[in-house]
This record gives sequence, C-alpha cells and structure tokens, in this order.
Amino acid sequence: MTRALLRPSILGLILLLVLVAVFPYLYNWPFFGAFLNPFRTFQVTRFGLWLIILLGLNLLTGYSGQISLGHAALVAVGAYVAAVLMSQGFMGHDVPIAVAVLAAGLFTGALGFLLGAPALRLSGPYLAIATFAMIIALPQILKLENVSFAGQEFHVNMARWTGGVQGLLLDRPKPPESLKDLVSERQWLYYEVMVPAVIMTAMAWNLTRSRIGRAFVAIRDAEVAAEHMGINMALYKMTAFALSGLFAGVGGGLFAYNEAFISPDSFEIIKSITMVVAIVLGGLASISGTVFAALFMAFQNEIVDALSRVIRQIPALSVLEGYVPTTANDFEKLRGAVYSIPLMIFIIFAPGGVAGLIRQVGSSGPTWWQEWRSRVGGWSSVARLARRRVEPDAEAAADGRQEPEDETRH
Amino acid sequence: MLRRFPRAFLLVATVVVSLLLLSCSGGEKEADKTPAGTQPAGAGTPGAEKVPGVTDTEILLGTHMPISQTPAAAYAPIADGMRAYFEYTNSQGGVYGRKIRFIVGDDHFNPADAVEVVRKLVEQDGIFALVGGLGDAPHAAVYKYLEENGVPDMFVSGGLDKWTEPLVRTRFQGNPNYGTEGKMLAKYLVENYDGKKLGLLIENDEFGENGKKAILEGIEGSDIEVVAEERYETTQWDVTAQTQRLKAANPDVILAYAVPPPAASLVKVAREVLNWDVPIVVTGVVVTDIFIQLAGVQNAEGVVSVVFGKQIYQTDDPGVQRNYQIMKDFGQGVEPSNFTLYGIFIAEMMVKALKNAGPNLTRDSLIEGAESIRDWCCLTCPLPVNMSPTDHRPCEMEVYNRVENGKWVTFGEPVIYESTPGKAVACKGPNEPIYAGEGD
Repeated sequence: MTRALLRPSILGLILLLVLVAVFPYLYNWPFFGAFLNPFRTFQVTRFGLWLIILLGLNLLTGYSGQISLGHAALVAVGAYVAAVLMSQGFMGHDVPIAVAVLAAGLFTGALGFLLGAPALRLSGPYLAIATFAMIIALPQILKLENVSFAGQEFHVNMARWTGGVQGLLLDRPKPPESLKDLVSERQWLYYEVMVPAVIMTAMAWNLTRSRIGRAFVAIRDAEVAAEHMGINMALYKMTAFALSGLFAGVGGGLFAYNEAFISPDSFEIIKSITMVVAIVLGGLASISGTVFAALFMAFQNEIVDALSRVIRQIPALSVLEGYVPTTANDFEKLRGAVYSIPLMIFIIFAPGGVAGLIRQVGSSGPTWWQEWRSRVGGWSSVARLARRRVEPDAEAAADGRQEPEDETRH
Repeated sequence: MLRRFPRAFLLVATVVVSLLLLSCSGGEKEADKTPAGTQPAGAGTPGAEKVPGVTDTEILLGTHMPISQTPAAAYAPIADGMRAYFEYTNSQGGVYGRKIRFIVGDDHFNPADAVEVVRKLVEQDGIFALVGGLGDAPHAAVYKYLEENGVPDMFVSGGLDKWTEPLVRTRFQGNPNYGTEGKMLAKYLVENYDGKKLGLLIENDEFGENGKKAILEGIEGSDIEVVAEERYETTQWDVTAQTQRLKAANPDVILAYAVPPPAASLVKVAREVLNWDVPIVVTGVVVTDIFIQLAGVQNAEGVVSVVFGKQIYQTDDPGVQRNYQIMKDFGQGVEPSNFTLYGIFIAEMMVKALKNAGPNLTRDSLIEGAESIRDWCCLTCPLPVNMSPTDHRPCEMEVYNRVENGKWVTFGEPVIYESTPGKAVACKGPNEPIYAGEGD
C-alpha cells in the first residue's frame, strides 16, 4: 500500500489533487502571493469549466472520430436548462444547483443521443456541416416566440423560458451561510466547479479504458472491422454523442451558474470552432491533452499577450516599423493572426498536440533518462495501467495514436 | 491497489457532492447586499490611497470592446479614439496631476469573454472605473457584476433602456437610448408618412426588440399601418431575402433597426437588385461612413436617420477640427473616423467628470462629478449635455440626418428630450454654451 502510494505517478496525482484542493487559498501565502490573486482563482475556475466541456468533445471527436463543430450548441442547451431551472424553479420548487446541473447534463445527454441519429449516415466533413447547423440554428430557437408555418401561426413561446433576446440573469451565487467565514464567493464557485470537474475527469478516464472507450476507438480507426468484431455501430455512435452531450450539459450548467448570466450570444460559432482547435492543439484522444486544451481555452488571452510581447522583443522588427505591425496596439488587433502562426507550426510539427509532444519527448532522450523512466513507470500512470491490462495494444491506442506508430518506427 | 484507485476516488467524490448538495439546498435563499470581500462604492476616506486604481500620479481606467476575431471589431477604432484623448489629456498635465492609464480588454463581442476581461480589469489590474463598455449583448453579462462591486460603469456604449431604467447610481449611459431614438424616428414617420404603410427590418436581439417597442409606441395614435416585419440574426450580414419579402408586402416606407452592414445590404438590394426606391429610415447606429461605403454612395442617397453628435467630415466646424487634430496627433496612426470621434466624445466626457470630481478622487466623487455636468458643450456636441442624480443620460437630444452626396448631412430642428433642465440652449463651439436670451 505505502509502496504503491510512493510511486511517482500516484504521488504526482495526489500532489496535484492537493494543489487543486488548496489553490483558492494559495494567494494568501507569501511565495504564491506574488503571482496569484482572486482573479487567478476565477481563471482556474474557467479552466475547470472548459475541462468538463472539452472532455465531452474529445470523447466524441478524439476517441470516436465524430467531428462536431456544434458542441457549443450542446453547451448552450445545458446552460439554459440549468439556468431556467435555477431561475424559475420546477413545479413551484426551488432547484438547488447540483440538481439543476445534473438535470442539464441528463437532458443534454438525451438530446445528444437523438442528435447522434442523423450522424449515423454522415462522416467527416459532412458530419461537421450537419453539426455546424446546430450552432447556427440554436440562437434563433432560443429567441422563438411565434412561428408561422404553412400559413398558420403557432405559439411556441420559447422566449418565455429562455428570456428571449435578453437572456437570463441569475442571482449571483453565494456560499451557504454555514461556510461564510471559510470561503469567499470566488472560492465557493471554484469548489462548485472543480469538484465536478475532477469527478468528470475521473469518469472520462475510466470510460476511455472501458469496453465503451475501446469500442469508440475501434469505430474511429476502422468502422468495418469494428462492425465485424460485433460492435453495434449505431448504438455506440449515438452513445458517443450522448456522452459528449452529458459532459457539455454539465459544463454548460456550471457555466450558467458561475457566470450568473446566459444569453443566446454566449456560445456562438467562433467559440464552437475554437473548442475544436483547442482539443487538436492539446491532443486528440487523450485526457491529459484535454487538460492542455482547457488550459489553452482559459488562458488564451494571456498566451496571445505573452506571444506578442515576445515577438516585439525581436530587435530586427524595429527596422520594419511602419511596414509590419510592431506596436502593442497593432498586436491587439491581430490577436487572431498572432496565435494562428504558432498554431500552424504546432499542427505541422506536433500533430499529436501538446500531449503527443510530451509523450514523444518522454520516449526519447539519454539512456539514464530511459532507465529512470522505465523504473518509475513512465510519464503518467496510464502506460503502467495499460501494461497490466489484457489488451495492451488497444490500451495504448486508446491513449493516443502516436504510440503504436512510434513503436513500429523504433 | 492501482486499479481500485479511481473507484475509491469516485466514492469520495460522491460523498463530497452529496455534501455540497445538502449545503446548497440550505443556503440558497439568503439575500445579502454586498458579497464578502468586495468594496462598496466610495469606501475609504477621500484622498486615501485605498481607492482602487488611483494613486497620486495615476488614474487607471479600463474598457471592454471587440478588438479582434469578430466582424464587430469594426468598432475597435472607438478604443483608439478614447486612448488618443486620454493621451492628449496626459500631454496637458493629466487631471489634477494624475496621468490616465487606459487598458482595453478584448471581448470579441462575446458575453462570456466580456465577463473574463472585465473581471481581469477589476480584480487583477484594479481599475478605478470602466469607461464606455461597448455593446448591449456583452455588457449585459457584466453590468450586474460591476454594480455589485461598486465599480463605476461610466457611459455604456449601448442604448438599451435597462442601462438607466431603473437608475443605478454607478451606471451612466453613453449612447442616446433606443427609447429616445425610437420616439424621434416615430415622430419623423408620423410627420411625413401618416396614413401610409410601414415595413420593419429588425435585428433579432435586444437592440432590435427595444427599438421596435419604441417605434410602435411612437406611432401609436397615428394612421401608420405596419404591413410587414422582417428579422435577421446578429451573425447575418446579408438581408436579400428579408428585403424581397418586404417588397412583396409593398410598404410606403421602411424603417430598419439594424447595425450598419445589414442596413447597407437592405439599401443596396432594394436599389440595385429590386430597383425599388422606397424611402428608408434607419436607426442612429447606422450613421457611419461604413454604411455609405457598403451601400454605395448612389444607393444610400436620401436615407434618413438621427444622430446625437457632429460628424467627422463637418470639417469647417472648430470642434470637429480639434477632434480630428487630437486623433492625428495622439492616435498612433489610426485614421480619424466617426468611430474615433465617438471614442473621443466618451473620453472627453470621462475627463470632464474626473475634473468635476476634484483633487480628492474617489468613486463617489467621480459619480458626483459626472452628475454635476451641466450646460457642457463637448467638442462635437450640437447641444449642451446635462446630467443630474436622477438623469444618467448625457445624450437626450438628437438631430435628423440624411445622406447627401455620400455624407450624412443634418436637416431640420434638433429634437430635445432633456430631463435635466439646463440654462444653455445651444452650443456655439467647444465649451461655449449659448444661454437663453444670448446670441442670434
């Protein structure tokens, strides 16, 4: 038992969990106070939200290979379900946040399952277009009041629930009375988001190492072969959508709670596409990749700021002043361009994303490093677990496409 | 052990969640005025260094605006205009010896992003006040947060009624509100098209909804009949289909509550594609050069709207000349336009409020300073600006404008809905109010 706990991988995980647990109080400490403040807590809360949302997308796109450009629509549905439940109650009863978020997750999961049906016959770019339609259609649906169809007026009055164009403004979340002295509003929100985020991560982690996860990977890699192995294609494809919907719903519900505001514009097309970009950048079909993706989403603005600061440091640039953007002001307007170039470089040279890059770096290097690595059990507990399993190959594949290729190359 | 780890972990997590659930259902209904750890407006003694964002040498201001990654980044020059005016103020020695530092947060016109950048401005950068937060949709996500934390929310660049109704002490509106504007547009319609048929093009969001409500209220009692109403989504810039359906309903006049690109599309399609010379009236938001460029000079001719300020190409006006020069001198190469003109107007009003607040600057004194703006003629104001503790709307007058030869030209008498009676009746030039009985 003690020996197991002392393994670097497990120890690392425990340290990480402890860090997550105490993070919102760290800024009061002397050393951490220098770079942490309540705003960082907010940002890490955002990270937790993105982690939940992106885990769902990675399950769908990374693991089972179904491209979805409309994931933000599912997130928005989850956010609205939770927001409506919290603001208007259910059948005259107040709905606590945990129930509202769970309901949002289940509703969105069910919706995702149904949306999976049309996806059965579509793949690749066609599926991308079909899912894209969701995010385009959703804002209009949320604002619906009357529909005239075939010359008749129908009163749908979606806007009565969703607040229509105004969106829904919720009460700002506050910590319960009993914990008032212990946690501030910001710290409370952090835990409200981080606890589900950790649970959902563990869930996704287990899921990808289960029968369902392996079936997803099999479908992604070879549909015909998977069907030959007895995998129910329709069921698993729809399950993939349902699971991604579940994650999106929970994430969206927490988003609405955290923000205390949701409007039809909160999750739009650009957000939806950025999510896909983020998981590709972080690493498809990888839980740690999703963590990087969520970090990217949460700290995007700061990353771009840092990048433009670095670019401005290049001395040769001053020669080009007036011809190319050099001032801070210019870079502000070229935010998209500033991060698109590293993005392209990244995708060309590290197609496995950040997670793939780390794996590559880990599996190369000097001999002493390799020896130490094999002794402590690799970068993450994943490889170790995989070795103990009956199907090591499927496990390795589930962790990322990189590994089997690497093995054949060496 | 290893394989059981996640399961044991899940168990612990489940317990934690049920605890959370229990604690939530108990503590949901409490209603506190100020959340713990936040500072009410104007806390601390005057002059003490406790005021966030204010030191003896500096005032830190911030705003949220779409700068990149969205078509709405067309509004970005507004931030450039504001920055230019603050730089200009600093070059004049600042306000009571304090230099203004101005941070722009890029919100991509997305409410969720606006939340992030505004929190960063307030909590990390520690701004003194938010100035000219742009856009009704993004600002809707942050206004409650600013209100609850007592951060002055100065001159919101949006026209929704809800920014000043109900009146919140810390929030001021920058644009004329759509209610005022709608009344003016309705007045024009009633005067010129009574008994005729009206077609509406409405943006499917709060901006369009608010405007439509004001128009319908304004034409109540007249014989104008609304024969068609078409809507478009905020992401849509091409309204060909809507325009065709409007034509099918055959109205005598069209009113568009739209942003410049769709409004331009309406005009262009009507004139060029459908060969339809119906009179078109648009909301004041459309009064920009971009609209004329997109619609084409020929097509835009005769389009009617309302504005609350002068235009950048009124080059013979001394106020506009100064405005133009400030942008040339301090704009870091950004071309002067009606957007930069508007940015300068907002920044100028902010500096005026800061000056009124006096040397002992607190959030409280800033609000009092803004509320005490009376009979003030800004560089580009056609009429004096008045505010009071019960009136947080600086722009309560508008003038009719019409496109003539590719430029917006003023016509008719200004219409005033001023709720704070001032002594001045007009503006001769910058800081030169004309009082009743004087002049002419």
